[in-house]
Amino acid sequence: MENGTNYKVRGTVLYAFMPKEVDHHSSLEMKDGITKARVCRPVTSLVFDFAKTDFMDSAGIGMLLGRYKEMSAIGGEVFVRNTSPRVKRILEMSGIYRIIRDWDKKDEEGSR
Amino acid sequence: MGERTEGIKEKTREEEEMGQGSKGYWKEEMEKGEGMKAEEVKMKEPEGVEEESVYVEFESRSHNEQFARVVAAVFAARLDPTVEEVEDIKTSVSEAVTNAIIHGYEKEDGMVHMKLTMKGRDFFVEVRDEGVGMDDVKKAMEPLYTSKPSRERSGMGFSFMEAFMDEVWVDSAPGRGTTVRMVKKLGNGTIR
Repeated sequence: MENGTNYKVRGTVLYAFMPKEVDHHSSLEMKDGITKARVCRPVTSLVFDFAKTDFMDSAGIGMLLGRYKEMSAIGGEVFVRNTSPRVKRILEMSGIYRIIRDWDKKDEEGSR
Repeated sequence: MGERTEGIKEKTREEEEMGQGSKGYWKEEMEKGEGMKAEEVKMKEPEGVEEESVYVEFESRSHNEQFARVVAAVFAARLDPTVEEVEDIKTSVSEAVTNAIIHGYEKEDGMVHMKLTMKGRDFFVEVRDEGVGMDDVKKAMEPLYTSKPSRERSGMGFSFMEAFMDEVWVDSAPGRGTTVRMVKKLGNGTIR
């Protein structure tokens, strides 16, 4: 599915492969999908992979914030990965990098 | 009548020099608006500026957010915009349409009206709903403010519109729906 989200659990890490466009409509589906995926196994890290994504608006930010709240409630963490320049710009403008880190740079110090 | 007009950005010097752009198009709205000077409204139209519009209306369903921004992107393509300008327009349209669907038509479905106009190198977007409206436009436009904290809204919709478009106006009143008007001046090449 081109505009769907796929999930993969590896250990305690849940990867959410984001759709081509992350808006209010697709965010609604993702919220349910992630909730269901988390029920199956204990997840301590949630990684949003934006490799396929070329569009995101503020609804996507709202969805990320919602997942961040859920994950931090259980002591987990949320990450983003493979962000295109556009997605990165949206994330930067929203200030969300103060609470969500890039998965591939998580071992570098000072990013939090 | 009785509508609120929030002019959130002051007219710029460049616009006066160009003598085109939003002034003529929003003339009527400005005449209604508060605090606009009469001489500003009476700017004369430049000769020979081509104007073209499309108008679409669609049901307030979330999958139409994508429809609206694709229509805007395709129409804007005639002005040969940069990739970034197209993305800016798409994001802003998406924000305005999502607001109409989530907030305007929260309680009952209705039609969302979108009018796109190009005039010279200016790209105008008008998104209108006949939904619940709001009494405090200023508050709604504050960064991070959301009237629906439980719905996972980031409260950044208007901030994004303001960041990506050159000007944004919002008219709204309780029970009278909301109209968002925005203009993007293509070819500025400015990254803000």
